[in-house]
Amino acid sequence: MSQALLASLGISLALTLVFETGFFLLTGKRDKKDLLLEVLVNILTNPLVVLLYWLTVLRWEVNSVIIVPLEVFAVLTEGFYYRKYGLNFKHPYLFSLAANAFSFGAGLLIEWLI
Amino acid sequence: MKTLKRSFIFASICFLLLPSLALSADVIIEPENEFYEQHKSEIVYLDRSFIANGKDGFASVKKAPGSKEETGRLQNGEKTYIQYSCLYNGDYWGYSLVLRGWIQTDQLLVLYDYVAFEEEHFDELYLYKGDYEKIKENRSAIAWPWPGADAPLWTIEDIDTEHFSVTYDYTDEQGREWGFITNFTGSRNVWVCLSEPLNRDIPVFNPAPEPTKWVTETKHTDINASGDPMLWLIITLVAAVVVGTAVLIRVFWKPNKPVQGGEVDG
Repeated sequence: MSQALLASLGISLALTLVFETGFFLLTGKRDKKDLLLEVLVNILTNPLVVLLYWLTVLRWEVNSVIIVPLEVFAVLTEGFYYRKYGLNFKHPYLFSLAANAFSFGAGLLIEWLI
Repeated sequence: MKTLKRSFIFASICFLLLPSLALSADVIIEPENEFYEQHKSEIVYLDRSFIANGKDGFASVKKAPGSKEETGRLQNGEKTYIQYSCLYNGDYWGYSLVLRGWIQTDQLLVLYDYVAFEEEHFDELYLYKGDYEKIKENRSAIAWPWPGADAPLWTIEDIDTEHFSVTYDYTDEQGREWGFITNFTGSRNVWVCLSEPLNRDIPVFNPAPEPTKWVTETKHTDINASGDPMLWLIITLVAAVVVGTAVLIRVFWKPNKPVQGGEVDG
C-alpha cells in the first residue's frame, strides 16, 4: 500500500503543479512571486488531499464522494492564501475554484484516456 | 505497394509473437483486485480448492481482507478454487478467481489434493531413475489427482517422450510406480501411473478424506496497514511538507492589508 500511496502522492502533485501553473499562465498572470505562491500553495494542499483521500476511501472504505469536501477544502485554503499573500489576484477564491476545476478536469481526462 | 509492405510487416510481427502466445497458456492469471495490486509482494500463490463452511451457512466474499463490504456469498458445501492467500491482521484470507473476492479461510475447508498427498507422503517421495518405458510404448497416460485417487482426471495424449519428465516418484503398496508432473502440455500438478499408464481401473487405495481445516505450510507476512511503519513515515512526511510550506509562505510573503469588500485588487 505504502509504495502505491507514495507513487500516487508524487504523480498527483506533479500533475497538479503542471496543470495549475499552466492555468496561471493561461489567465495572463506573469508575476513570479504570485507563481511561486501558487506552486507553494499547491504543495501545501495537494499531498494532504491525496493522503486523506487514500486513507478514507481505501483504508476506511468511506464513500468516494469524500473527494467533494476535500476539493472544497483545497479551494478554500488556496483562495485564502491568494487573498492574503497574492499580489495580482482580483478574485482569489474564484481563481482558486477555476484552477482546481481545470486541474481536476484534466486529471479525469488523463484517467479516461489511460 | 505501401499496403503490401504494411501487411508483410504485420504478418511478420504476428509470426514473431506466436511463441509468446503459446507460452502465455502457462502464465498464471493475476487477479484484477485492488488489494492484490497493493500487497502483491506479501501475497502467496496457493492453487487449492476449498468448500464453504461458514458459521452462518455461507462464506462471505469481500473485496479486500478485513473489508466490511460483502461482494458475494458461497453457500456451505459449494466449491471454489482459491488462487492466492494472505495473512491480514492475524487472519488468513484466500482469493477466489471466480468469485473475484477474498474469503476468510476459517469459513472454508480445504479439499484433499496433490498438496495434501505430498504432505502426507513426503518421506516416501524420491527421484525417478527409470526410462519411462511404458510411457514410450503408449505415448499417452491417464492423469490422476494423486496416487490411488477415487477417479482419474483425463488422458494426456501424444506424449513426446523427449520432453516428458516427472518431478518426483512414489511407489504404492502394490509396487506400482507413480510420477508427479508439474506441468506438461497443459496438465499441471497431476500424477501418472508409470507402471500402468493407461489403466483407468487401478483400485482406489487412497480415497479423498473429508475436507479439513486449512493449515498453511508457507510463511505469510502479516499485512496490517495500521502497523505499517512506511505508512506512518508517509503521514509524517506529508505533515512536515504542509507545515514547512505554511511556515515558508508566512516568513517570505507579506500579508496584504485588508481591503473594503474583502478582496484584494492587484
